[in-house]
Formats: sequence, structure tokens, C-alpha cells
Amino acid sequence: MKSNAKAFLAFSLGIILLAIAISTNQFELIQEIITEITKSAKAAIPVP
Amino acid sequence: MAWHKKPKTNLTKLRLLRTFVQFIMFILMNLTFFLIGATWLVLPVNMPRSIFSSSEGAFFLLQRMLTMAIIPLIPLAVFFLFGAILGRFFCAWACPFGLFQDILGYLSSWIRKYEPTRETNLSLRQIGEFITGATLLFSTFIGINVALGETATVEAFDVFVDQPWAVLSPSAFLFTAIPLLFWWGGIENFFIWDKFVLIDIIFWLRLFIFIFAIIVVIYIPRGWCRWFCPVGIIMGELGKNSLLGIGRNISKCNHCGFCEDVCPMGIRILSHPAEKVRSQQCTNCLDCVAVCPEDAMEIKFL
Ligand code: SF4
Ligand code: SF4
Ligand code: SF4
Repeated sequence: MKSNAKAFLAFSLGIILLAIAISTNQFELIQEIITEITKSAKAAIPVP
Repeated sequence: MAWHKKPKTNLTKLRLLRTFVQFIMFILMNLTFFLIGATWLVLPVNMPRSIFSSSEGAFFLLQRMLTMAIIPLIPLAVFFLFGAILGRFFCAWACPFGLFQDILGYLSSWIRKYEPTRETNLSLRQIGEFITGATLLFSTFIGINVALGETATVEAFDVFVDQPWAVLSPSAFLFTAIPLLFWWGGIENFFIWDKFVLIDIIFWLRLFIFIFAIIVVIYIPRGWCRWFCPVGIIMGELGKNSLLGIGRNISKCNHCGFCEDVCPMGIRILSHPAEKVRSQQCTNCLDCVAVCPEDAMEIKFL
């Protein structure tokens, strides 16, 4: 039971973090970051 | 003894199923290859962003956000939510670098495997803990300098300023550097020395770590996952108490030890509480469930 309590605690923390992320539009932000990382991945090795 | 359940057959079937699921997940994470754009999907797996990927591994995104001085709410939420419910489930069923290690394991199945002692397992795990801690501290340090506008300090760290661990991680080498080399030079140029030497010292360091990882995995099943992967370290801590887990029905168990023999993570299952395997290493791969001749191993939730 003690382990389940820890799991529920971690789950609640995850939900709280997700709620703050949604309310601060962090999903849009990470989509921008991900697009930008893809571009920089392509540019990582210079074409000789 | 009556091994009426043919444990080996069950195990082969399960491993085939798992490999199939891993392949499907790998394709789903690399949809950009099929010209489908980036998504905001963030998963607790060791998948760095490559030119093909349409999702992001939580630990790589976590570093990126820290170095940009953004509080990484989404990667942390992903760790906590998946870790609390499923534990390291994604390690067995979805992680592309896990799949790579499994394939290496199948290909090298004729080589005798080593099973390190519990003490060795624990002490080598400290290297992974160090990698995780150092990456997070360094990323935060960069983030603070970015926030304070200390560009000179930030630029001094050169390639390490975006995603520090991605520079050295073998999964980043496999999924980012190798496709890039082919994309950049084409297969016919791959081995031409003149072009190869344009790549700096970091490239050779990455190659060295990558080869080291391959050697470890050939001799110790899922060796990278056991000790060095930061996602495994974080998810393992949460997975110890996850709701999903594997339990052992002691009234059925005859202590034959088959489950321990097949466990890819080398877990001493019989020394864990029967209620649930409480190991940081358990990936819920279900090999032990498939192999148990007495049907004593069970999937448990809650
Ligand atoms: S521990 Fe292994 S399977 Fe899990 S995320 Fe890391 S590399 Fe992937
Ligand atoms: S759980 Fe099953 S495989 Fe493991 S020792 Fe008991 S009977 Fe054998
Ligand atoms: S204990 Fe069972 S489910 Fe967990 S890693 Fe080992 S074989 Fe897989």
C-alpha cells in the first residue's frame, strides 16, 4: 500500500505539472522547439 | 517435474510480439521520414531528435528546455505520469534504443552472456546516476547563464550548450549522426577519409562511446539500459512503485528459477516481495510471465 501511495503522489504531481504546462501554452512552445531542433539537426554537419 | 506449458514456445511468441510492437513504435516516432511533420508527442524513451523523428524523447527535451531557461514542465509531467502508472513499460515495448539492443542481443545470441553480481549491477548504475545528475546540473547552469545574458560563458561550451548529453549519447549517435552522414554524403562517400576527417574530435569520442555501448550490450543483455541510460535511471526510480507491475503467486511457484534465467534485466525475482517485483530495473517486458511453467508470475495493477 505504501508503494501505491507513492505512485499516486507521483501521478498527482504529473497531473499538476501537466495542468500548469497547458495553462501556460507550453505545448505550442515545445512544438516550436522540436521544429527548431529538427532544423539544427539537419544543419549539424556542414556540407563540404 | 511437469513442464506442461512449454515455456520456451511462449517466450518466443512473446518476444516476437514485443519486437513487432517496438518496430511499430519506431515507425510512429519517425513519421517525418514519410513527410509527416513534427508533433508535440513527448515519450519517456531514449529517442533523440533526428531529421526523421516526429516525437521527442523526454530526457532530450528536458535538457533542451533547461538550457533555454524554460521550466521543463512537459518532460517532467511525462516522467511522473508514465512512471507512476506504467513504470519502465516503454523501455521494453517502445524505446528505439531498447529495440536496437534487443536486435544486437538476438544477433549475438551465440556469444555467451555474462550476468554481473548484484553488487556490480548496483555500482555500475551509479555511472548512470552520475550522467543523469551531471547533465541536469550542467543544463541548469547553461540555462541560468542564458537567462542572465552571459553569452560568452554559454558560447565557451560550444556543442554542449543545446542538449549536453545528446553530444555523447550512443542513441543520439545512432539516430542522429549516422542518418546525417548518409543524408549528407550518401553511402558512396561514407568511407572517404577526406570527408570523414572534417568531422571533429567529438565525432570520434561519440563513435568510441557508441562502440563501447555495442560491446557492453553484446555481452550483457540490455547492458546500456541497466546502468547508463538517464531515462532508465529516472523511470526506474518511479517504476519501483508503479501501479503496473509483476507479482508472483507463491502458492503456485515451485522455485524452478526459469523466470530469473530469462529476465533480460538480470533481476533476482525470487528475492523480491511476491506481491510485486520492486526493482528499478523491471521493464514489465513480461518474459518472466511467459516462461513460468506454473503460471505463477502475474501482471498486477494497483
Ligand atoms: S533504459 Fe533502455 S529502453 Fe529505457 S529509455 Fe533508456 S535506452 Fe531506452
Ligand atoms: S515464478 Fe514460475 S518460473 Fe519463477 S521460480 Fe516460480 S515457478 Fe519457476
Ligand atoms: S522481472 Fe519479468 S517483467 Fe521485469 S524485466 Fe524481468 S522478465 Fe521482464
